[in-house]
Amino acid sequence: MPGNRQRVKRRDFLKTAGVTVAAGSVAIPELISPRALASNGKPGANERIRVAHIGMGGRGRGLYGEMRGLRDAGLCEHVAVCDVDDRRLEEASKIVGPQADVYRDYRYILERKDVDAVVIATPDHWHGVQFVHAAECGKHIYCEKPACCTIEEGKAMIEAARRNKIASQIGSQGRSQPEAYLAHRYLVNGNIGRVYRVDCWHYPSPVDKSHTPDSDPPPELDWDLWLGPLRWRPYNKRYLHGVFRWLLESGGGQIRDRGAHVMSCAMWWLGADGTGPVEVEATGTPPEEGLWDSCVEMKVTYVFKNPDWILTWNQPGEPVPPEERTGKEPGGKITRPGYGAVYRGEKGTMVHWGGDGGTWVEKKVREWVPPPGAKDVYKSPGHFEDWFEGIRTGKKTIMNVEAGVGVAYLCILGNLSYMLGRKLHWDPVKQEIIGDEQARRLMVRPQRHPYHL
Amino acid sequence: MEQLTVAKLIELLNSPDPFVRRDAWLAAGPLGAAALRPLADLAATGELEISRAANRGMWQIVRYVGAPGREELRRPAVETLGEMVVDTRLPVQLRRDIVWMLSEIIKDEEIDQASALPLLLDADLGEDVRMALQRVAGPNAIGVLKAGFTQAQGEHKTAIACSLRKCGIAIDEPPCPKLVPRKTTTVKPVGRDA
Repeated sequence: MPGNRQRVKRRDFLKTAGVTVAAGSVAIPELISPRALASNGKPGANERIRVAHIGMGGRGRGLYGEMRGLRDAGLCEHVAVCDVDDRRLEEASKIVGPQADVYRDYRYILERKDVDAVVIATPDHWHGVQFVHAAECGKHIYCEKPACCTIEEGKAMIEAARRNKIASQIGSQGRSQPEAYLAHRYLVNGNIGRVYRVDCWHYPSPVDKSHTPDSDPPPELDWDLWLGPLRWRPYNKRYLHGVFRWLLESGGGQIRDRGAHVMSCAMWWLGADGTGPVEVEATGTPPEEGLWDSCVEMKVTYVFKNPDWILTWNQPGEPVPPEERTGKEPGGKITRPGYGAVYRGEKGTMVHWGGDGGTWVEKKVREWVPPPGAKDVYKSPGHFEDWFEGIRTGKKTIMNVEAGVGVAYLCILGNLSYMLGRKLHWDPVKQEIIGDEQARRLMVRPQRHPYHL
Repeated sequence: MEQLTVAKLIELLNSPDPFVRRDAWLAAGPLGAAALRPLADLAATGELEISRAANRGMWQIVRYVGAPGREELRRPAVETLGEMVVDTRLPVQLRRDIVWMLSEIIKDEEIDQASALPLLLDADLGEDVRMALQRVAGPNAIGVLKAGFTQAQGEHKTAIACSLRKCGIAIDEPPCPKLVPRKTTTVKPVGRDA
């Protein structure tokens, strides 16, 4: 959302970095020792962060575009791009410029000592493996959402980030939007009382009606590298590009695509990061035909305890019509009203639309004026800016890997309950499914050699 | 829907109406092991969408019989899948699917090492069998991986070593190559002088 993105001046950014935690009322603990920075190839305060991009399809190019303001402010430079599709790679090179090296295999980037950080925007089935590999090579990581496709991947990502002391940001950028801050502050100050239920809505997933048989991959595509961790199967053009989202193995459907946005807002605003449900029950309608197998329609209920609240994911659910706007609001006009959530509290309700790069809240929330003594909440300077602060100061980012994995687990558990056709019981402390051996097996999906954790 | 039988299931899956096929495979679970072979045959020979529906029916059965409290349905399903996985008349890709079906519901004590080892060393199925054994990760599964490690060659031996490490077994050589880049591109940076 370029309209939501403030241009950052290098001097302003450096002034902000490191003082936000102290000034804010929300505790964001340190992840990285500041002493670890500006050493071992890590960027110091006056150095540009040297970024490489892994995955330069639609989203990868979009993320590059979002970072150009930071590059122009002298905060970073783009030193390499990588894609398994040569046409996309060539296109990326044209966009990013001749100074950026080009690679098919992301591991060439990871072995370079002069790369500080990577932006991962590959299909979802690659996120866990590439995140862990990048962390093991000491790179700071911005990784598109959802963080992971399995419980095992999520645990490995958290462990790799901790062990290697890297700053991570998962791409649920709704948390960093201006109206997300307003919603968070509104809820924290008790305007609707204790929230006991959050109902998300989202339009249904598409059906592949193309009847496309398997075929040879096009010459520009490295099918083996595109599949990566997934078990081998013949190429079918309905796997890619972009449409990987509609396969349970890779994208996981709407719930793992947009659920990782809308439910991310709920977990952040309700202070539920680090917690999880104790029960998950899903029902859904699969496509009537085609390669894609994620739910067309779906309903998932998550039961949280201590504190008690309910989260539901509903395709299509009951969408709330978008409010009229002038476009001068902090988040601008509502351009994606097809998803959002209703927060139900003991004293009222709150509605938001979107939840990703566009996050919009009701007028009453925007216009609420905090009285003296009101609680403030952390205000992200922008999703990439917040990540850069994490890199330079060691501050924990707003959508750090622990938070991102926690949200991804909601999506994963919803899909597992749907696939198995039964309620799942989850231990949020041990992060394990309880009392169902088959479901426990599905927490793990061993990966194809050598593309594994 | 009237009482579903295996014959009726197969008839419905052959329907030209995709919604009829979907509702049929969704209802396949309680038919259990008895429906697996007919479904596999249909998956192997049917027109594209009918084959897909039959395959999804097999998965539906696996997810149904694997539920807690359905041991009397799970055991025969494992036996039937075990027979089909070695049936070379079935397409390789379907046999790979069957390996993954087994990985969800087979108990470690049901893995016969003498039968599983040739599958681990099989050129078509070996990689999927390796991953399935890693998922099960019990003493028998690990035993097959250890035996396979001593006999496998080249990259497959390396892959098995990685699986054994995942299962907590110390293996020094060969090292894990997961971070070693292998694939180069012919694309050059656009606009960069040679």
